[in-house]
Amino acid sequence: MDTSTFQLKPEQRFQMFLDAACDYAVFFMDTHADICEWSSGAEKIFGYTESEALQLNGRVIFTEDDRAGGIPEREMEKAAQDGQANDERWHVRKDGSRFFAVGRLVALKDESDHLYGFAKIVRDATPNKNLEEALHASDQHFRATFAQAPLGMVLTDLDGRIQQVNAAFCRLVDYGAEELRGRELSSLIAPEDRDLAREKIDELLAGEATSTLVEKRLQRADGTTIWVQDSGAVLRDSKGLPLSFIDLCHDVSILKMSALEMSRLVDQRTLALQEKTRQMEAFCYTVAHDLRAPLRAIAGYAEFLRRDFAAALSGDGLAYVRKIEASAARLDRLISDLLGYTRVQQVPLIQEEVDLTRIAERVIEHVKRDFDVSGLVIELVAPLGRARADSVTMEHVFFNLISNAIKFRRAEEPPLIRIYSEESGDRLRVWIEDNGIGIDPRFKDRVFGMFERLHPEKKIPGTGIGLAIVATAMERFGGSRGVEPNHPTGCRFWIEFPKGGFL
Amino acid sequence: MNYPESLILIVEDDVNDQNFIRRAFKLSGVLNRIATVNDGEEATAYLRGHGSYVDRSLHPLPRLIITDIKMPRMGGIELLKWMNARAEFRLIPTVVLTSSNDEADIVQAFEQGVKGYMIKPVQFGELEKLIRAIADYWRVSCVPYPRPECRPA
Repeated sequence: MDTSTFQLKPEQRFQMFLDAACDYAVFFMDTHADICEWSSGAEKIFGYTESEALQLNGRVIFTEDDRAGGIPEREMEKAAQDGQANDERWHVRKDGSRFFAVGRLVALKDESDHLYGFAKIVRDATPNKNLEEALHASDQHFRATFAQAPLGMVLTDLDGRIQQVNAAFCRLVDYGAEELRGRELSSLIAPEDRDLAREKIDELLAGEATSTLVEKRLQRADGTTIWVQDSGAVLRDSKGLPLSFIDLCHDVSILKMSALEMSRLVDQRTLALQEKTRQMEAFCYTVAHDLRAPLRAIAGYAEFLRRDFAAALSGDGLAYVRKIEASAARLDRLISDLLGYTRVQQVPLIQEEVDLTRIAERVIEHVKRDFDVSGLVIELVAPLGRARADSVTMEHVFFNLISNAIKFRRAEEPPLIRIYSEESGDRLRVWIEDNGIGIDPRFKDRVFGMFERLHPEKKIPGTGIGLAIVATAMERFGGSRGVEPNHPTGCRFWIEFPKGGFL
Repeated sequence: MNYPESLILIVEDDVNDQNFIRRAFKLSGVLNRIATVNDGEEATAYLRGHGSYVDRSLHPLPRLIITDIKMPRMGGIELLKWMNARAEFRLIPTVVLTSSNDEADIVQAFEQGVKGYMIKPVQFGELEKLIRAIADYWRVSCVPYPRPECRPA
């Protein structure tokens, strides 16, 4: 092949080069930066046609800020001095859009080193720039995350020396980041927790765990100790070899302290309450017993008076003696009930299988003897069922409920009491229904309280303790009690045994 | 226990109760001598013949003891333990008469071999019935005579 036929003129060759380099903007400017040649690549990148460009000054491609900052002049000066100047910055297209240009400004000089113009070659590097910026942003983001995270973070090398800490960690231990760098992390851990920390590191290194979670104490610069919850992990390279450790520490001192303090407080209060309850019960028991001694004296001597000196006493005198005896009898009942109540509270209950029907039968017999009420009918719908309870206590419960039903009868009709049970789901409920005067629904919860009386003693005798005994007893059997105040007339009391509580 | 010469010892800290028990025994037709001491410690002094009880002819050993449980210095249960530890007093029948219906007291008393456990009623009439029951029971029951070495000199 005859290469001579391919000999092109230098101008032709240059033009071809310019046309081929369509991804590059190439243009020439005179010393004033007026554009005097404009390649097709330049047209493509900047958007100006050749004829447009030739009317313009090269400064037009700079951003307004750069123009104001004298960047074009500085670039030209540098090129004039050094022969060329790098041009890596945001430029502006005809349509006002920006792109990131990477290129160079080359000074054009003649043989006598006289500057006669500039050549500029730039390419659009926006995609690269964007990627780089994204990477940079991402990196910044991660750094910021590490630095500003509210969780204390510390990176340590395989020897346990601190490489990097964040501000939160510095705050936790009250040391500066520089003070901590290079220091052994274990030196910050309270001596009693160091073995535990070492164990966790070994677990991580051995691959037994990918992360660990421990609560440990850190020693602060001022000598105080804080509790942290530390999540640790080992960072490995692509081959799985350990590179470093990361620990995330969360201050749990407040939680820890309050948990400790709270449990201490709860313990203290429980003890105090138990002690108080015990004292109260002991007090109640003692009072009940000690009250009885003078009471016996009052009742006894009143009786002696009545027996031995009846003749000497006037009618009034005898009436007074009888009043003394009646008062003593009432005080005796009160004390008996108080003792019953403390017994229900204090005595360890014997939980055995009891036949509620038999207990109710026994109590009904007893009640009928005690209460001389004409027309009294107690209907027992047998069987009531069996329950795990203490038979003596259950007798108290039935006695109080049944005698209650009798005491609060209507004057105009004889008391009718019905006792029956129903099993619903996991509970056995025994109903004691009466046709009495009922209870004001407002007081339906109060009736189970100690010494609660809704009627004056004169009208209906009672000590206000009976239903408290019922409530306490059912509580102790793990059951409950309640009342439907007016069902349909009178009221309907119930006691209930929980699942597993009845057989 | 038809031994008119034998004595009933009441161990009771409440003077009123002492009076009531005495009176109830009288009303029950019991003619035996009744001695009272105020607590367990005085009872041990009486039984051993110590202090003011040194003269056995005046203070013979009792054939029946009625004791309270809760008393100052030495209570009824301690008294029973003390008696059981001594052969010469172990066989004296003892009945508890107390205001305590505490199950623990009842169990302990029976563990110490009491022959009865009664709760003091508030109404004197009730106490009278109770004492009468005790008297009737022991009237028909044989009781070992106090051991010779313990007899009055």
